[in-house]
Amino acid sequence: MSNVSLKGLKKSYGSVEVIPSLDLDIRSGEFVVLVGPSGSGKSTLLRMIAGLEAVNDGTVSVDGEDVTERDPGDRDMAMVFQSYALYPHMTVAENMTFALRMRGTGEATISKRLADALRMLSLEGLDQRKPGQLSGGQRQRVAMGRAIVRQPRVFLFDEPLSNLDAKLRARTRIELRGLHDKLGATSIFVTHDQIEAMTMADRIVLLDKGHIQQVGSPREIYEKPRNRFVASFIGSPEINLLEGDIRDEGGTIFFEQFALRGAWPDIQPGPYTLGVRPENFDISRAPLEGGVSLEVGAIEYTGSDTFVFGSSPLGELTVKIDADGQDMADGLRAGETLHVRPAAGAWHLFDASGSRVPEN
Amino acid sequence: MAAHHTEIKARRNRRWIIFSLLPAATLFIVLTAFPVINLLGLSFFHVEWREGAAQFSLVGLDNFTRLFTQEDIFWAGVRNNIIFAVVAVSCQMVLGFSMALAVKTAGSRGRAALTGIFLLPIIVPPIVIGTMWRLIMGREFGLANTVLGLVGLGPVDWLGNPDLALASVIFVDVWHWTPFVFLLMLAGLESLDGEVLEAARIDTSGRWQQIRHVVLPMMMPTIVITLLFRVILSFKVFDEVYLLTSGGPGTATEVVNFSIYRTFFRQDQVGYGAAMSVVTLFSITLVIILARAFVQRRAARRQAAA
Amino acid sequence: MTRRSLGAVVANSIVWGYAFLILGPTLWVLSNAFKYKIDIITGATFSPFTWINFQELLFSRQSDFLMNLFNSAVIGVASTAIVIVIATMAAFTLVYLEVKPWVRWALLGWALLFHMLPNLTFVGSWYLMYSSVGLHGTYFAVIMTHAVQNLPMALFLMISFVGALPRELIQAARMDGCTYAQVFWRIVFPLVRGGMIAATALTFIFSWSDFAIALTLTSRDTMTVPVAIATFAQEYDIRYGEMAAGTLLSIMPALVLILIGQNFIVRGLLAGAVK
Repeated sequence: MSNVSLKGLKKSYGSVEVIPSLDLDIRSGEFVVLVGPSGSGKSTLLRMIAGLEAVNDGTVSVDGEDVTERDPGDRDMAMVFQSYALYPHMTVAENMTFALRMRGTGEATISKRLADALRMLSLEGLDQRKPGQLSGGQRQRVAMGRAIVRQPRVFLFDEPLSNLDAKLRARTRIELRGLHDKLGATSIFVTHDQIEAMTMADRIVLLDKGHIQQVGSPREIYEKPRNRFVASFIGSPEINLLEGDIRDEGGTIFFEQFALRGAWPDIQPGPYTLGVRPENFDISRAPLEGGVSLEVGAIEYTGSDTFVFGSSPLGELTVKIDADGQDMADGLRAGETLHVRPAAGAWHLFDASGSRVPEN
Repeated sequence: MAAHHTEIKARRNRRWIIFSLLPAATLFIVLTAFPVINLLGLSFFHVEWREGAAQFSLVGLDNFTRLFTQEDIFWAGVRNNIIFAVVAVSCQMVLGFSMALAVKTAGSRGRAALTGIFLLPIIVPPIVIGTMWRLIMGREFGLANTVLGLVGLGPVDWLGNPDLALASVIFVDVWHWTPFVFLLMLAGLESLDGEVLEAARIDTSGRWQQIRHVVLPMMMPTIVITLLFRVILSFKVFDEVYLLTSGGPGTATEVVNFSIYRTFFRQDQVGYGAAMSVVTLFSITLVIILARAFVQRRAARRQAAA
Repeated sequence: MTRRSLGAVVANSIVWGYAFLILGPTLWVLSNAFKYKIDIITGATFSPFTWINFQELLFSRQSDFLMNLFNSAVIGVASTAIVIVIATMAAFTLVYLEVKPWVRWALLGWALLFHMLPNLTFVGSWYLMYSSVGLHGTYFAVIMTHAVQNLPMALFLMISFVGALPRELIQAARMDGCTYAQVFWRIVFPLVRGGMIAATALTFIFSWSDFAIALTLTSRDTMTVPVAIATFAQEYDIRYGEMAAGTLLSIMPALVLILIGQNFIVRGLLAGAVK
């Protein structure tokens, strides 16, 4: 178990700054997910930690030891690649033990670790196959096995699930997290998929354009997004972001027609953005006090929930009708009108610069 | 320990980069860059051979003055090379592209056999092609005249008639290189997006419209690059000419390469030959640089438009 | 007949017509190899079959052709081996490793330029260089010159084959502890064998086919097949039968390659052409 610490890390290709300057501490035994849109620098960052990309400035340390200049093979880190990167000319066993052989590990240790890993990943009997003879899921497990046999201080994952079909991906998420807990390793996992981030991470690091937007537990990130970007990146369907003005009417704070109860007593009037997630609406067929009308445009039924997309005087809105409201959802047709109101206490307010306005 | 290990590895890695590039770089420097410098130097000298030893006398720009004011044969070669490039390459492009289009749209039987036959002229030694056509176009018992004789024509002196010789040599070059253009064009056509072609079938009426408005524009990058490539490479022609006509009759099929060869190796005029080489080298280099700039500008424009 | 099948007939006849234009003359010339001189000169289509031309060509005392074949083989094999090793190593480094931009630019730019320049502009200088150090007429001179002559094409071919490997494979090997040299020998080398075979075939063919360099740099003892054939054609009394026999033997490597490795060659030619 090892902690990883990044200090003032910088990367640019020519004049293009990919990562301007980044600090991050990853605790021992932690499962950290780096998530962000494409071009956010998450893969570059992972490769800098691995030593596969040169660092322009700053340091990478493991357990307080500076490894910035160290060869990728000497950092005691193992990586699982998006394409798995299995050596096509080697058998499963050769693939998995290649790193140990390169290190001159003893034959006895090698075969013991190989056997353990094969068992752990249910790959027994496949060890003499070539990667070309395996299914996608098996290849993915061999790639993990290649990392596991090394018993590294740190595991690096570069979107290792993105080539699996949806069902297998969901199952592998759980298996992978289980392996992490069993091995007690420190894992850094890169993905663009917010579901993976939310379901697997101890902590999520949300990146955009090389800047860390927020670091926190999935819950923190979802419930207390630090800015508009985080709020809209995490959550599906996306959070509703409404532009409007805050005004003070005799002691009651209003965002347009919504009365904000209690949360922001000292707020300055002016333009703000209100964020409300689709599930945080009171919905009714009858007009609601302090609510807005919603003309139904499209209805998506997903089985457990129904999402309604429509237009309100404040702009386009997405609202979720959960299982309790299915009666209401059943008869609903496009063109009809609903009335919605943000539920109390589930509001996110962002100022003109996009930063979250803290609740008192 | 790991840190120490890293240092060893770093040293080995640096050594590998040098070790892996050095042989290629050395070959290029010793056998291509140095000769260019050598030729440049020689072009300012008059070299005479006395008892097997070379006598150098510095003559300044005399070789170049002579080349630009008194030379006829070399410039006849330049003219022929240009005719050659324009006529031979146009024929190769039109023939190669049409055949590729025909095969692509209509399909062909025995594709593997066809490819095998078309590969033949490309990978057979050029000198063999020269030999073959010399026999075929021979005045007395060549195949060409035998066939003409069957229909009561001929005999024609394909290679000895000054009005015909260049055309005959160009014909051989077209025969030689059309299959190559064909294979390139076919590969290009086959890498076009099938769905776009499907859409074009629906949106256009008639085969010709489809070719004119969809296939041709999509193939343009391949066509332009192949064309420039063939034009530049056509200046390499030597082997066939050497065997078919040796530049004759007169200067009818003289080409630059043959002039250089003759000056160096048959007339022992090293300094003068070097001057010819230098002029040729720099002109073709200029053409290559211009062609590249043209291709890059085109690519940039296409990108900007997209 | 529908329009489409009519088109197919026309297309097929054009393309196969061209194929006939290639094959017909070739076969006619090669058939001379099996004819007596008198039949060749009188243009007899059907004539008695004979091996006499091959016997004369290969085993008569006046003929060096067997030695020419040997020379061509030695030069072809040696120069090809050198070129492929050099080109594959350089291709790996240029594609995957951090090389100073000017080094990459200079190497590839010069390779491209040299590839397009007529080698006749160089042969004079090569001749003088080798003569001045006493290497003219040696195997070494021709082998090294063929190597440099074919290096650009081999380099571009190998760059396209090596570059087709997934980059993550190289990165995985680095993570597993390989140095650059180990990545090359243990991962890249085994995986680009197919590409190396294609490049080897083409390089050998081009060395085997070369005329200009062999013409100017070989002596009587190191003379290669194409030069020998050219000499035949320029004798006052041309021995057509032996010349055709020599021609047939000289295209054997090309024929063998077409028969066993057609796809390799096409791939190689295409990869080398569009740079």
